[in-house]
Amino acid sequence: MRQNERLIVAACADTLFPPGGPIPVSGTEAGLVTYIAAYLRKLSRGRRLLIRLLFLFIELSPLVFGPRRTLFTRLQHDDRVRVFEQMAGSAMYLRHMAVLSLRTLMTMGYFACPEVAAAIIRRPPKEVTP
Amino acid sequence: MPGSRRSHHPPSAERGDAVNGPKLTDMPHQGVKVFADYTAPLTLACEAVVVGSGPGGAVVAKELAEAGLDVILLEEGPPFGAADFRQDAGASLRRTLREHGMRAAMGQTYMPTMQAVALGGGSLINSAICARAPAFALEHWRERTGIGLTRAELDPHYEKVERFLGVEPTRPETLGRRNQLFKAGCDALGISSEPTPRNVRGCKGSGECFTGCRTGAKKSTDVNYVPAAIRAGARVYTSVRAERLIHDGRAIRGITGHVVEPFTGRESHAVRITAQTVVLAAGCMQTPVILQKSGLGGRWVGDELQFHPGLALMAIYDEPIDPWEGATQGYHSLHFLEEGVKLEVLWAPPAILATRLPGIGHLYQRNLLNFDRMAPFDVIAAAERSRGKVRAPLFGWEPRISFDLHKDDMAVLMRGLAILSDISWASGAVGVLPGIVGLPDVLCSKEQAEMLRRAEVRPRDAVIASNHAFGTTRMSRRPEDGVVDEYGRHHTVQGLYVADSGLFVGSPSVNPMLTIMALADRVAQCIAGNR
Repeated sequence: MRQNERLIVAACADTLFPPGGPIPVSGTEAGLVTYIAAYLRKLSRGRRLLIRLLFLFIELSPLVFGPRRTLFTRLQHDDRVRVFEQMAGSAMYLRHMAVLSLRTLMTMGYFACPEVAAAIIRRPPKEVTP
Repeated sequence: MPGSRRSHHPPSAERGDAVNGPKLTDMPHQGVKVFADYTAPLTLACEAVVVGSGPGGAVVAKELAEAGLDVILLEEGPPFGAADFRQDAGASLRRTLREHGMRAAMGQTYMPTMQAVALGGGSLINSAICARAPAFALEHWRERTGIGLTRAELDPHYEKVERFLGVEPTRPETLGRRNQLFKAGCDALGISSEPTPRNVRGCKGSGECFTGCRTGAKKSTDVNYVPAAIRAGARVYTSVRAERLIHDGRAIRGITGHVVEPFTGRESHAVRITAQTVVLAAGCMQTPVILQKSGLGGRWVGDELQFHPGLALMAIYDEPIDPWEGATQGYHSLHFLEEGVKLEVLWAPPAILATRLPGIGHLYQRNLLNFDRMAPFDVIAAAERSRGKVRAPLFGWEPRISFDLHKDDMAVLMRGLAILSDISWASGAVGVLPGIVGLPDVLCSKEQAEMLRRAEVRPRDAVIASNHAFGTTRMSRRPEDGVVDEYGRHHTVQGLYVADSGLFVGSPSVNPMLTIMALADRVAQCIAGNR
């Protein structure tokens, strides 16, 4: 992943899962940047391109739709939250699907962090043995 | 990495028998050729080559091998053992599914659809539901294309497959609270429901069906039918992609393809297999691609694609129910089947389901902490008015899939969602997450939830997904109405058969796996009888 893409992923990760919340692990602390980079490496070129375009779409989105006409990574946390909320409720299907796809990717990575999984699945299922 | 190492499994000790079904063996993939085994182009000959090792192909391969035919079974994906399964949703999707789990049907909405690429095909990662198509569904098939198939005619095949798989209703001790609450809600409303019949043995209710059964309880075709085929003399080659049929327009001569690396799909050695009989069971999305790329894309090939589109809601309870415990889809209701509605308990990797929880930031995190109080229920619709297409791409082998959900089928889905809401409230839910754009994130009372009955919801307003796909090479009595006859025989090319869900002439109304297997058994019987 390129450096600018890492910044976008980190911004998205901490917008969805900010520090100091009820789950005491933020998105970046959960290793989401590393997770997404590894995930992308293992995808086919075509699929990787689609996800890169998704990141670019998020980054440029505020320039067109607000709330401030600047890049997503340059917004304050509250404005980033507004960007995602507006996208989630948008009548434009592409915007709606973009944030849903991003949310799915990020949530998969968040759950892959053992501390997060332990916090959410407080009573883990019984040990699985063949 | 499965498939990149050689199989060193000792001979399996026990043979699955027709009465008790296959017995658990630690080394089910003995004799399966894997990617690392191929050091040169493959040129082979046999009497029958079967493409695809999922519910259709595995049945055909076993039955033909046991009938004494020299059989080769090809599978594009690698074999997976219990130790190869990953609980991380991203890793699991990427490893076991086509297009890394990102396959979708495009139309007026984007509909994810998961198709497996692994030894065992879809049976490896489905929730093991084995349901017979009701007689009325098969009657609709007959009306549509004139085939003579009836439920009475299919029943012996259903019975044979069920016996071999060891199908049994989900046991009470493996239900968990999620399934029990669904049953309680149905009981309170007088809606009939039942434990789902499944091809499992010794299920521990770990809820991991979709990422692969680490306990070895699921009896997917890679651990029963494929080993049985091998014992009967079939040769099984994984990591081989079948690409083009060898034919002269009247008779089949074999198939060509390539060895492909697991997970990357990188091509290596060429493959050429000559055979008098070719059975395509690559699934209803891949089989049309092979036919179209082979110059056999007639009027119906790839058309009439149907899905069982699904919608889900999340019921919220006031105490922890630990939804991750219990059989993946251990209970269902066939009460509204004739209306095109099937209701189910749902489970999937927690990260995938959690995506549905509302909120951004701290609110999302708070909702995640309440995940242990939530139960997902889903509705699938027969969707007989909706259609799509599968087309071979100009380059590569991943099909272009289109599908449009008819507004009346969307209304059926919404009716099912409203009933699921009723079931939730009747089982003691204190809230429902409908997951519909334009409706409140959380419905806080049964009265408020009545809006599900009134709301005009478009497909684009909901997250609709479907893994049940069928109909792209449908059976018909006359060549003008379909691709194959009711025994899977291609209408024009002698020796060419289809044995996957592409055969379906319409919705089976229930989960398709058992019907695919019963039809495949029938196809195999026809081939063996024609020798």
